Amino acid sequence: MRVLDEDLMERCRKGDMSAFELIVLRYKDAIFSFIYRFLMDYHRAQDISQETFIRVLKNVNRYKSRNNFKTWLYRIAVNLCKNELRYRSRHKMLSLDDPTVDIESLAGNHFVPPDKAYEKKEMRKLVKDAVSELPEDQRMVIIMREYQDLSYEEIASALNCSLGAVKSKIYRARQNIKNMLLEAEIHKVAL
Amino acid sequence: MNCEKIKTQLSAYIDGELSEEHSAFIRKHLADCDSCRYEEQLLHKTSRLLGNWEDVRAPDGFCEALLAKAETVSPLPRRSIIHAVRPLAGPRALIKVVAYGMAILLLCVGVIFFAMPPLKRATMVEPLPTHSESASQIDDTASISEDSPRYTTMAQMKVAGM
Repeated sequence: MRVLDEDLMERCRKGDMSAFELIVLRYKDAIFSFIYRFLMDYHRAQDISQETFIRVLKNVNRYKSRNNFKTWLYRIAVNLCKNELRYRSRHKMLSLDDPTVDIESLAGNHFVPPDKAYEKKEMRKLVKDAVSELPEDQRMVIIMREYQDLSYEEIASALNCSLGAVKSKIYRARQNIKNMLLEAEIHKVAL
Repeated sequence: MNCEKIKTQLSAYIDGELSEEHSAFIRKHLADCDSCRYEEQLLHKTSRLLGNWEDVRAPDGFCEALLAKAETVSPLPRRSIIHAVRPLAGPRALIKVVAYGMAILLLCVGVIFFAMPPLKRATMVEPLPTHSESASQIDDTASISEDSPRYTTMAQMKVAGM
């Protein structure tokens, strides 16, 4: 039987590091992928994901068990991502997706024939570009919805905003992506 | 509901985030409206294309590195008086403490002053006689009458030469 996150946090509060380890194992991929997709920087995503979990540990006494742990965790990650973007804009840094890091090979994907692989790679690049072109708030909600599989209510809780705001941001994000992909004609081919 | 409004709801519709009643209404509309149905298909395709972005996982060794770091971290204490007082450690905080202290002191003085009986308060605010006044009073002690100021404090009496 799966132990509830809230129970793990309670054990964590009592100093049980094995409970913390379980939390990390449970959420490390989700948090890493969220931060990576949002920042498009593999190395910074590692640091910020780690910092997210460190903050969980530091603030274990402040966590209220009546709150949903997952959305609380995402809220920490969101705040750290926003800090990173603020830091970048202040220091005129660019969002860097390190071209030397091949995520696909790191993810251990199976062999794909070269022509198909090229097609897939092109498609992926277009999708990535379309998502990264979105305004920050739309990018965040669409990543949470499409890749993290969070419900609208969970997204609203993680971003501390209303359900209506989430609905409207997701709608606008999809419209923008659709238009960008249409512009690239990828949609027509896919249809 | 017109098509424009329906189209704004389609995103939540394909995510299954509308009420059953609302979804049924949109489903019915889609059955009759080509334009909205085409829009719905485009949204489905968009969502499917977004799925082309490969799955991303935390790198190897992530957990080990994190747990090593976590060993050195101790949780912040629960919110308590000690926790509330902790930010008062710096020099800027000291200035704040002094400022607050002075404000509280002034407030206390004010409260005590206004809590005094009116007569006592009046004697406290009564001005000291000026030098010329006090000199004339010394010269003419007989002129002290009911209208002359009362010397209730030691300081006033000293100035008046008593």
